[in-house]
Amino acid sequence: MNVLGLVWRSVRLRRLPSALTAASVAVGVMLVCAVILLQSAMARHFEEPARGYSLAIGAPGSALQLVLATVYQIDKSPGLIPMDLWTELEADESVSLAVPYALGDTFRGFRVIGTTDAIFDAPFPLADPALAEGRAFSFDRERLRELLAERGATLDGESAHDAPNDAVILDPFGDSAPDLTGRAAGDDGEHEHDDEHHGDVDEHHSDGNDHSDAERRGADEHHDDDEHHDDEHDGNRDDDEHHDNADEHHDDADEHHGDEHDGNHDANEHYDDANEHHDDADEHHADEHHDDADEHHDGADEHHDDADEHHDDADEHHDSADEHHDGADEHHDDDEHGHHAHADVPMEAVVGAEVARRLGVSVGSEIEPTHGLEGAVHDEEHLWEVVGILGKTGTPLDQVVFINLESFYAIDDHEGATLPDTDQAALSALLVFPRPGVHKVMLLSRLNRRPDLQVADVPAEVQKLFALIGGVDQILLVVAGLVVLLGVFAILLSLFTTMNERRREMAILRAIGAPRSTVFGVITIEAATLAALGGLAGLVLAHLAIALTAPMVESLAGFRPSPTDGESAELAVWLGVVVLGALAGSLPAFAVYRGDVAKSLRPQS
Amino acid sequence: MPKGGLADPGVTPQARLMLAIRDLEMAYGGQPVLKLEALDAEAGEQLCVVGPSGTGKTTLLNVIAGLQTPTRGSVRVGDVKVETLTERERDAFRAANVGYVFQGFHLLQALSALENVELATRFGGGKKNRALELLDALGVRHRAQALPSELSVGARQRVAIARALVNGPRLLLADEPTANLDDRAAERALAGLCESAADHDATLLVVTHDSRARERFDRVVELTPP
Repeated sequence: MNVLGLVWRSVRLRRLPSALTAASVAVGVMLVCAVILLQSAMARHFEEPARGYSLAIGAPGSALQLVLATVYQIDKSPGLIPMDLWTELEADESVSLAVPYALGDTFRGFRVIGTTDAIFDAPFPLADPALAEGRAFSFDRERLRELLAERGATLDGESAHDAPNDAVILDPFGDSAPDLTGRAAGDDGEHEHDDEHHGDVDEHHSDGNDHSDAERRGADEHHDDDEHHDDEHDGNRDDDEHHDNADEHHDDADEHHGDEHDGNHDANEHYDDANEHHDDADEHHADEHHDDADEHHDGADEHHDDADEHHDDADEHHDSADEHHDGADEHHDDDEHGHHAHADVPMEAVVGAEVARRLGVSVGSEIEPTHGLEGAVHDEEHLWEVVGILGKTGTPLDQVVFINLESFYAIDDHEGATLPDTDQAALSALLVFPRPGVHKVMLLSRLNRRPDLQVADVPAEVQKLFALIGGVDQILLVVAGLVVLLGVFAILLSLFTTMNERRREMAILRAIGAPRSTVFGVITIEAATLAALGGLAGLVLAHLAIALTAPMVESLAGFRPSPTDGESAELAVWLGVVVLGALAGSLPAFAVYRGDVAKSLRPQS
Repeated sequence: MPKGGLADPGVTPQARLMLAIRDLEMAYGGQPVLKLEALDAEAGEQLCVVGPSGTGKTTLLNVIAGLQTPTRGSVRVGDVKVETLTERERDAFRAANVGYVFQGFHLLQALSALENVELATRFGGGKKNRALELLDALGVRHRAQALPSELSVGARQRVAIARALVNGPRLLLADEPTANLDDRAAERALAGLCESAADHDATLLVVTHDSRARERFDRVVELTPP
């Protein structure tokens, strides 16, 4: 019989005290391992969804809120950002992929995101393959451009036309928080607007650091020359002049574009795109001229106390514009600016794996999202056809409905998706995937200088969030660790309470020739064995506890720990407990080691 | 060295001397508990050491077995001077050359009768299958799997004797083997010890204060209080 056999027999001989000692260790190990399992489940819950993301760009506010809204799909976006940032970043050499997000709708509790087909491209973190069924939704940038133009907004910063009369709709997405100016959705921002019109146009466009950059752009587009600044409160005159301009554009489209950009901007490629668009389609010219006229009416409206007078002017001008354009765009005939989706825009959706599973949605289904996170119904019924089901990612993307961006803007409730006080089309956020290397740092450095934006470094924000939550875990872990120490102390106590018995046993071993090292080893190994068995039981109990409490954890904390997941830290805890047990055993073992054998063998009285 | 250090008792008269104790004294805190000027035992001899309580009988056996180091004097077993051995050497020497039947037998309660005997072979180099043979020879084979707590006093003593003999020792020590036994049981216990020692050609040294033991031994040595 070897030493392990002796140890096992000794443990068996003292079944009850051995079991109780091991149980005290088990309780401690169970607590520690349960905390570890919960920690890792929580870490996965927070970190895995963020894997693959790099930068999230949104309106100034809380970076964490932005990450929660765009990555975890659990909060409102901080506000709106200009849509032209999307096209700007798409063309940026540091950017591998830029994905626009228009948030605000939900479908039976699942978030609806208006975006482009860029989500199907690497490195956007969809499953591989991205689609489990069906096809990607169709996205047409030109159609979006046209649609925005019809709505009185611009996609990429080209000179805009008038927005509809009520076009300064500041919270079209329903879930956007107020912007940094503190103005709630719907504020007219009259004072700020005055300032914008008096601002230095050239300076604004050259440095891009002005706080009201986006707003000013709209203002700039309204006022091509000094004359507007000199007489900006003369709304009627302003209208007339622009109306004339509109006529001139009809006569000579190229000339119009020249006027439009004169002294106005940084002359970026977006304007070139716009020009090409004008060249290609006369009807678009007509629309934009018309919008241009409307836009100036709005500008006039904001600067006049007499709103009625302005509206008269605007209506009059509107009619005039219609005459010019032969009814090319039916949306402009609608005095109420449309209460239905754009007829030409395909309303297509791809849904996340969980959405499909839980709601029984399949390819070919029609869904009707509701407005805002609270689920208010849209003014009109809008149905999207589900054309694809996304592959399961195990992240919040499984719980999202993606729709083509143009369809998002096609419905009435979203038509005024413009930045406050401007006609610039707006997005809720942009997810940017920089090229490898230093590009991320360069982008961060560049974009962080813009006061109208905030750039969230997604991994860094997730780390911050987890560090915040992790503090509580550490306290739990320390408490659980103390329970483990208590268990180890129980081993020590158990050995010392049986010391007389053990001294005799070890003396017998010595008497039949066992060396001291054997005696020391038997006691130490017995202590380590109790710790090991207790630790093993603790591990099993921890997983059982997780299995039993998983539903409760899910309902309380929003994530479900898996009892079948194993963590290397658990093994480390187990090994640590075994070592501590052996150390605890070494104290009585040493006492026996040094003991007097003859004395221990004396007959007990 | 200790295991093979014993002389062949059949070669010379001196070589037949299995135990030689000279001028032995053991004291605790300056208080002597054992004094023995000389004691010799030849190979195969069966000796009985008697004396009243407190004369150091058990101490004498412990010193011979190397469990205690004498304050003074020498103990030679075969040609090995026990007091000169290191502790590790004494452990090995004891395991291979000395069989010790303790008062109260000191069987390990966690092990069966057979396992108690087998365990000794692990330290003394004896053959494991010899354990069952000995239990058989001593008439307790049928109780081989029983725990000590399940055995009678007589059966426990026989198991203890088997454990003491399993490594083929040249010297068999027994401490008060008849303590707490009635006459008949005491007779059987002594008979078992003596026969076993004779069968294995071992020198037997029994210490007892039981006068009933005197007649069975070749020689009786009386210890007096120091």
